[in-house]
Amino acid sequence: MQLVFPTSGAAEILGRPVGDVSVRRRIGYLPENPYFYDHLTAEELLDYYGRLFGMAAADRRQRIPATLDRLGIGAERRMALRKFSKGMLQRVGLAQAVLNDPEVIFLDEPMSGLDPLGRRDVRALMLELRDQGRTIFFSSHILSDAESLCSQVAIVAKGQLAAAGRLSDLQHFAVLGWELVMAGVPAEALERIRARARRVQSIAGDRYVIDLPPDGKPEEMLRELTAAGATVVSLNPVRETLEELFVRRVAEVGKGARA
Amino acid sequence: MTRGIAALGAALSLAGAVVLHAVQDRSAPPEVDRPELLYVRSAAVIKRAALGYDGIVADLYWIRALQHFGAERLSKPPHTPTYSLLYPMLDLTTTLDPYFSIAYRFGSIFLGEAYPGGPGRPDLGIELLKKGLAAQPAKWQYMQDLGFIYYWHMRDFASAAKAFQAAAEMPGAPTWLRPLAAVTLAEGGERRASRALWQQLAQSEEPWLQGAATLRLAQLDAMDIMEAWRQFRRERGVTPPLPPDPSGTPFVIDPATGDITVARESKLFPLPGQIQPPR
Amino acid sequence: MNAARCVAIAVFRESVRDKVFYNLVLFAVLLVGASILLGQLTAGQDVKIIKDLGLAATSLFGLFIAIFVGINLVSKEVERRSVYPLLAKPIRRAEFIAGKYAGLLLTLLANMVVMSVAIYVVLYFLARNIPMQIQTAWDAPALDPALLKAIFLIYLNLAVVTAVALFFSTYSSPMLSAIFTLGVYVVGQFNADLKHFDRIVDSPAAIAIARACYYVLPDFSKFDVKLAVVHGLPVSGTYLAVTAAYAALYVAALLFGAVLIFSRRDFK
Repeated sequence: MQLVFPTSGAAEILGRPVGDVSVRRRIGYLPENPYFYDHLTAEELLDYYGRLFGMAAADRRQRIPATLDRLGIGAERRMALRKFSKGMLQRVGLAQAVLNDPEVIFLDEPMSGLDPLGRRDVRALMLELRDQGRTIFFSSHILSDAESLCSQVAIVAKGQLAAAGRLSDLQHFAVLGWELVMAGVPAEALERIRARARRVQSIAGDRYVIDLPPDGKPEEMLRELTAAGATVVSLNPVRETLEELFVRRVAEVGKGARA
Repeated sequence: MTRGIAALGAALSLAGAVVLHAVQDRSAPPEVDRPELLYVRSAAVIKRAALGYDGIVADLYWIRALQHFGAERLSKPPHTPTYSLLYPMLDLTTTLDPYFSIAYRFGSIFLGEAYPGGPGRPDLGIELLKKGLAAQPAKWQYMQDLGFIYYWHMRDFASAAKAFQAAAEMPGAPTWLRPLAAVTLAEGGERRASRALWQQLAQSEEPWLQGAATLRLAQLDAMDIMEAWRQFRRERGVTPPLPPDPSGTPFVIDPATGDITVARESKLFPLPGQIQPPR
Repeated sequence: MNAARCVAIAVFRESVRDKVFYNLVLFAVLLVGASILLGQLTAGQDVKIIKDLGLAATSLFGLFIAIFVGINLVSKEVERRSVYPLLAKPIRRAEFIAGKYAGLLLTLLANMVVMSVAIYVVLYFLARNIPMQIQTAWDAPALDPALLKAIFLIYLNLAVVTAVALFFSTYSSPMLSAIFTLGVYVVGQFNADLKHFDRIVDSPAAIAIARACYYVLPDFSKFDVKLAVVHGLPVSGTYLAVTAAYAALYVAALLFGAVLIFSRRDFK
């Protein structure tokens, strides 16, 4: 978008150099904490941007209501934007980012300011767009979002690229342990398995979290405890999270910079 | 603080301020009520300050000049009218708008007006008209007015004739100016030439010009009557009765000179040259 | 240039919604009020004074709009960060600048059309009952079409001031832009004095600077033919054309400058 200019280097997008203006017809962009024009309504804003995209009147008449519907903006679309809440503005921002049916979409902190319902909606939208074959770049400091949505990630620390690639390639995929949550565990069964676990923590009453080492054979323990009358709440492998990777890589970049 | 208290507080405070203002006003009237002051007299400064809005600022000074003139005219004792701001304001008006013809013409008539009807400064009227002619050298009306001041107020008949002649030669000048120039030259102080001039001006569209001309004609008639009365007394050796002057008020005898003169209450008072303005 | 057109229309619509055009109400009240009150005060000069007032108010109100909307044209979008989604669209930065300028010019044009009509209407009613004899003696007729020449030049004047304001708006805060633009306007009025600075000051350096400023800074007094028009003095078509070219050149210089500055701005 050429909002800032590079100090050096070149880049291309969709086969055109990054400064090319016409390629922006095929791109969508949502800025962080978007702010538009107080005096316009949501419909008028999309119409303005639609014209800038060079969309024909008939196109706009069809796409604008459809996009507003998809983003869950109902009768508010005729209200002036100055009356919109932060969450509503975020939806409008997303609407204008997808209005032109873009092939590549840039989302800067798309989840910011949204309640859990909104976050779920946006996540669903992003997956839908991905399934339609579009490419989505999004930036977020909520690493769990990246973890659950992204096929590839890039970590930028102090303006430098610290890591990039598929999540599965980046993360230690090896299992570092197991986390087993059981309910209704009789006391003597608990004492019996305590030695095999790294840690046993009581949550409430007779519900326990059992931390096992990687070779702790969780299936066996599970069979044993269920035979003793307990029920399974959950069983999860413990791997390195994106967060731990992120912290590790940022520290490395920091050390590199100092060296 | 409840809304009721806030509303009451606001109302009482404002009422108090108004009352205080009224009380103050009674004891020491504000500046505006006192006779006007002109803070800026320099035409050059005003022209700069007007920032391109010269026309409208000129209009403002014109209105002020008229009000000043009117206020001085209508003023009552102990205020003695001085008309001191008339020329400065007309000067400012015409510097801002050099084509403001009515300002020049009004100035030429009323600056020369004898005290207490005016400041009695025909020389300032001449200054103003010369300024007008500098901006518009072919404006015959200004030249005519110039001639008029020389004739009526300065009694400088040679200059008056020259002015009328120059006016007559300007484009658009009316045909009666040429014979007027001739008459002025030939007859000097004759009232006949003056009467012809004032009769022309009495046909003007400007109401104030019309009024001035009609008054002058009445004054000329008065002077004719006075002359006839003096002649009668000289020839017959007796003092004839005092007739009413053309405005209806009887003439009186001036106790200092024993001569017939127009009464102080008469509309025709003063005749030209009768009273000296304060210096 | 479709993008520039879109932006221009957006600026116009914003002016409408920001109630810029309410200034016309004040204008009308001023003219009508003055025409009613003037009768007693002016010894028959009503028509001239209404023309003076109408032209002066057109110029002054237009100046306020040109400056106070102009200084916000770019800076408001940048400050509110609505410039981000806008520049991400297929629009060149030059088109953005051109569109903003055209939009304000459109607003000013609409404003001045209404003002011109108002002036003529008031003059019509003022002169309606004055006998023909008196009217022929006037310097210029009441419904003088030459007033439009003065209004045209006022519009050119405002076009240059708008360009100045827009230029400053590309990199200064609104407060500074207002001060600079007003400063340029005031100095432009005194432009003629700069040429003769040697009459006021002795320093050769100051005189040289003043003379340079005289040529470089716009001479706004060229756009002022109000006195001439009100007194029926001729204003030639050549003069209008030359002054229009002068204005166009300044506007072009300022807009190119604005594009130059704006094109290299990083938006963080």
